[in-house]
Amino acid sequence: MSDITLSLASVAKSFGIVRVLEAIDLEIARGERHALIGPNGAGKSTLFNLISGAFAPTSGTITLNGAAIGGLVPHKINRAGLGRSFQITHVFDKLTVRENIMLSVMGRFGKRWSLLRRGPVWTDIARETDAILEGANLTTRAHKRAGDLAYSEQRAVEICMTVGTGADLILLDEPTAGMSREETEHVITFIRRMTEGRTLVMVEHDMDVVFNLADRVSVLVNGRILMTGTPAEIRADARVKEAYLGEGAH
Amino acid sequence: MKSISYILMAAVAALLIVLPYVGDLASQNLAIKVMIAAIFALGFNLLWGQAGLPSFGHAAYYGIGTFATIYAMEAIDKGGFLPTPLLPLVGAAAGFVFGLIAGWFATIRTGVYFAMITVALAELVSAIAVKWEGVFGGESGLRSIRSDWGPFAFQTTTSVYYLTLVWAVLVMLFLYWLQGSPFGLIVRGIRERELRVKFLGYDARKVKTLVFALSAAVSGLAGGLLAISDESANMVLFQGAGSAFVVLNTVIGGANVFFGPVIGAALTTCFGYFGANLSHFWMFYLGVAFVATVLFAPEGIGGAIVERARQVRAGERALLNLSDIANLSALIVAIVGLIILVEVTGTICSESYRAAVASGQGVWPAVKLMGLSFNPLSPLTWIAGIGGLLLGTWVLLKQGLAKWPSFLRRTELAQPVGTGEAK
Repeated sequence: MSDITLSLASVAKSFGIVRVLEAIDLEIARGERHALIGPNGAGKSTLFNLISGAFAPTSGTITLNGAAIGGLVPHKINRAGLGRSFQITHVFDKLTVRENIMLSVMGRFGKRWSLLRRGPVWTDIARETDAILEGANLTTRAHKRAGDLAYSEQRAVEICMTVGTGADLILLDEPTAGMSREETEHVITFIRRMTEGRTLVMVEHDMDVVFNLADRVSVLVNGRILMTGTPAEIRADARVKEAYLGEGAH
Repeated sequence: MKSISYILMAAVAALLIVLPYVGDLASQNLAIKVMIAAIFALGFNLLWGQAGLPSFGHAAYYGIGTFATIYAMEAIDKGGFLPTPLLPLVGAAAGFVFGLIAGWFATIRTGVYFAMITVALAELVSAIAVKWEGVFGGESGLRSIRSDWGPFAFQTTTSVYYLTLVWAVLVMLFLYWLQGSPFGLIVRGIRERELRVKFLGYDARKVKTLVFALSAAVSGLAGGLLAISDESANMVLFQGAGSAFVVLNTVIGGANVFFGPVIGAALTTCFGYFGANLSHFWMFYLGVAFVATVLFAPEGIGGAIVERARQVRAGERALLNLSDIANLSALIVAIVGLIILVEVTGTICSESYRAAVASGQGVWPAVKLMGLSFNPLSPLTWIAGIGGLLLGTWVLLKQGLAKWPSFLRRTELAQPVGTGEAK
């Protein structure tokens, strides 16, 4: 298997006559942490939704681990090895935290139609679920309803679910949205730990998070990739400053 | 609290077991109807309460179950080998097959469009049943008879009662177990956030189709028990009233509590049985009860019981206190006021009353109600009715037992959680 996890070749998306994305080419290496940044309306969310299967691309191909995934339905894309989170927290409010995580782990072990909790595989599922809870410091919250948790804990549950499906490509949509500075610090450490050994693509507005977490950054402006590079390169680039960083200057 | 609920369940179970020895034939017949309505409502609630999918056409699967079972009874009578006690499975199988087809169509869409498709499919089945007399028997319907099986005779009401009881218990165990199973977890996930479930790798559409079929199967099983009990089937079963009643039962009982639909089914069935003898307007009262539940206690009676139990367990309040007695009295006052209003108005609007007025040279006879005479021309009658209703309702709202519906409540707007747009 190649060392490219995700590759996009001349991917374009139009809504009616509005061209939101044109000719996006992007290759993300195995184990890389990649951030998508850009001003509002640049097409970050659209690109994110194309990769995760919420929309089908108008043209171009999206390849995950060598298999074309462009236009597949969400559950097939997930089974191909992609897990995503949502900008607005998508946890199961009325289920317990443990049930939330278990739902994501069950599918990985192929238990998608199971009526019984028998057999050794359920021991594995339980063990894996508890390990994720432990790793996220959520063990004491396991039997609380997810809807009753604090906002930052719900975000943590969401990331656990994304990772719990066993996906090797993790897509995070603004993981630190709506968090305080202190919570953000926690989440950065948390994301780094949870996505260890996996490939990460995230959309993020908070530049501190981006420069802290990402190995490489792509800057999206007006539906095109302006440039891709390391955080240092991005920071130094004049075009990026003008197009994006300049307007929100520190 | 836990022990109280066990004691309660044991008491209900004991009552159900000894009922044929202590009750008369009428009470057994009523209990059979209650259990059938309860199974139907539980089946409906598998779809609504568990999966969050509103079907307003469940009468179709209930009716299909009844007709399929009548045909199976006919086959047994002609020498078929199916044991009579297993007949409800024929209804369940028929419901499952039709549910699979209907569910496949309905789950193409979600929300209100899903509900519309279920209504349309039920109307379609109903229209076919009216036209196709060869299969559905036209207005007179179909009849068959229960056959005995081995040492078991099924000619008496008592035998039908026990057969229904056994099936009711089996269905409850099955549904309770399903709810706790891994599959049930996926189903509840779909109710909470379907999109999330899809992105966890589950084929939500297939899961929903299967839940729909299982729900239709349980409804068909209830229909099968009806066929066994009545030894007949009629196309009236397919009409909208059946679909409406199961929704009503579930809402009144509480969709989010496992036994909620059972409570609702028991109450409305008993209410229909006794109320129909007492008043022409019993359906109206049922409608009022439904509207009041939706507005003031959307979690239903079951939800209210569970909430009270939780408060008592948490030590927040006593099992019964003074304000409960005040609330109960207020409720009774409101109901009495409502009854006076409805009965007096309803009676003076009737043909027979107008005929009585005409023959009595314009004298308005008093309306007899609860052993009292109400003169429709006296303001006292109307003051009693309107006053009772308003006073009782006012006390209930003031006491906080009933809550104003949210659109009438003055609340601060909830602050939406920030999505962290670029700074």
